[in-house]
Amino acid sequence: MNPQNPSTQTSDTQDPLNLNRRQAIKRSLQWAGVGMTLPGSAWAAFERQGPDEELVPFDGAPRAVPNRLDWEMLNDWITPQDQVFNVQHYGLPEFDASKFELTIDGLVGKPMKLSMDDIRALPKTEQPMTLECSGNGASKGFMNAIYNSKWGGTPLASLLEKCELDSKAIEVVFYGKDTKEEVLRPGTNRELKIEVPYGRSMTLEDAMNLPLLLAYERNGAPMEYRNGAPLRLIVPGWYGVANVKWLTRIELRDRRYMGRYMARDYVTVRGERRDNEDVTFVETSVTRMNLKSIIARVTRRPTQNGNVPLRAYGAAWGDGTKLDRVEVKLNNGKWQRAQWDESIPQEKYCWKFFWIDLGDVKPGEHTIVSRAIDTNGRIQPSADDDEIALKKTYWEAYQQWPRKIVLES
Amino acid sequence: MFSRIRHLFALAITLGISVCCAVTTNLNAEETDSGSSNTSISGVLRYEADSKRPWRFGRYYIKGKEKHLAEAVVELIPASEDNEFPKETDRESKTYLMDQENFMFVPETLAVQLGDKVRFKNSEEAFHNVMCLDDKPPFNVNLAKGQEHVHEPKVADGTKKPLDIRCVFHGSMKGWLFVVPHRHFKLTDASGAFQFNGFPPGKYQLRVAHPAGELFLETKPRQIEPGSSVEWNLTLTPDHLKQQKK
Repeated sequence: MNPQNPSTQTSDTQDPLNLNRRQAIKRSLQWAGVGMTLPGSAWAAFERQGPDEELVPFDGAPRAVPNRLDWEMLNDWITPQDQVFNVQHYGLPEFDASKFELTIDGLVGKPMKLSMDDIRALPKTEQPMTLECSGNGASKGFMNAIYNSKWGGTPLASLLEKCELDSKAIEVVFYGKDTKEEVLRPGTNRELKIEVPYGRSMTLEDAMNLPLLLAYERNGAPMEYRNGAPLRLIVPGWYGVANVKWLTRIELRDRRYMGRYMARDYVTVRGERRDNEDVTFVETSVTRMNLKSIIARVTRRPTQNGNVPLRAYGAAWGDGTKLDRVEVKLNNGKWQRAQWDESIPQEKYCWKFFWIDLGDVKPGEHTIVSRAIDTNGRIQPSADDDEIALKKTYWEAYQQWPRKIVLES
Repeated sequence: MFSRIRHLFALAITLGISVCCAVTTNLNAEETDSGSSNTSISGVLRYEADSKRPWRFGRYYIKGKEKHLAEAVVELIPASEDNEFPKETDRESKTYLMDQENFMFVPETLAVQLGDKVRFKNSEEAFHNVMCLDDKPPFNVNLAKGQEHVHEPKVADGTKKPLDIRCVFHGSMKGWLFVVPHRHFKLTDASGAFQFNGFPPGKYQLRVAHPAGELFLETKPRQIEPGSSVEWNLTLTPDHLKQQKK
């Protein structure tokens, strides 16, 4: 696939999951010796890793857990379901899926009420996308909340056009089926309790220009309930919180929506240093994903002349801005340019994998860190950089993540 | 959400389960009257991997070239009514530690006898919590660095079902507390070894549970003769992974 022409694929194109089967078989055979073959898509993750490479465990890293990405065992570009994380803020709603409907109303000339059959009858598109929780990597206690999928559904923009948008509409609000009682100004004499649906919003401009999808499939199969079935909003390049599950209503409004998850939670509070070095704190809603990379695994080969041949593999992603390169640093050495893994699809809104040979390294403790750089010249910051160090909330945890290893001789 | 987590370890008793085990029995020439003083069962747990049915967490628990299975709980189960374990009275209660370090419960799996206590402790800077909805009553306690919470569990389902231990602030932190109503159980270490002594002769089963893999095995009943030393090795395979069961 052409990295210059990525994003969506219509359903009448060749199914990417049927491509490159040879690679998958090869990969399976490679892993067979160590008991790690997994069934999956055609694209092996970290294809270059050979059977003679032994995983070096990360030092001080908590064990992998169910329903989180397992970087060291991941062997598929598409994330297996058992490594898919789930977050819901208002619990798991109960409803009759056979009667599920999507309403589009507000500032539209032709409001719509669509059943799932109606939605499935609309033109279908597939959207590959890496979905990351904005809290992913905020601490060791919340790691690996990220996965890569191919979502199937119908594009939103053309559907909105059919609703005849009112010229006063500036905001699109997406509501889930899940609701909860929210308490505003708790403990004061102005306390207010209201039952509200889970909601997120974006400008009409974003809604019409991003390849938003009303998704009902994941990886060619019906979406799982916990992933948002029967209908989920898919927002390529935005953090997971924007991808509203159990999507039941879309409302066009003439003013900004300020629900809890736009204006109170998922608000990043960050100090910004002005010219006079004063720090001013600014609050922004969590929306677009930030440029990020991580060392996913480190491998070694047998010791030669007292040193260990070392290799690192990793992944990088962002909001769809083209990635230029990833650089990797071993201990206090120089940043070295990693190689892109070209064997996997180069999709605009999906993670890319990289690898780098770190040379023959002496046994002992080492630190390996990566940083992604996009074509605009933006560099993934370190934890010491102002934009991370002055951030007071844990969302948007895109700082460089040093990994420690202990190499045995 | 927690209610879903709580039922990760559903009971899947399969009598007559295919167990790849080497069983040898060494009968002692001398038998005592009760037969319980020197009757013993010992063995080693192993895990035989299958590349087509991987257990991705096995890398933490399968040890060495012999593939010993660590952090599994083995329980001795009377298989007939006439050899039920006697209730222990006047037993001195023990207190076990389940620490919180590096965003993990340490140890992740703990096995205690009913009447014992567990001391939950936070030994790191991060603010943690310890919560268990399976016990009666349930508990949910926040723990700052250095703080502890001591709890005596009351629900004792042995290896059938552990109590799920969680930190509400960090969803990836998980612990399992097996509470056994008698003293004939063993939490394996890297050697995978277990041994039972001081039980009356009779018909017994071994039940093995490994919560991280949702591994579960229950052997067929076996007659243990008075004064015998029985070597009862068990090999678990992906057949014993819950996710493999239909």
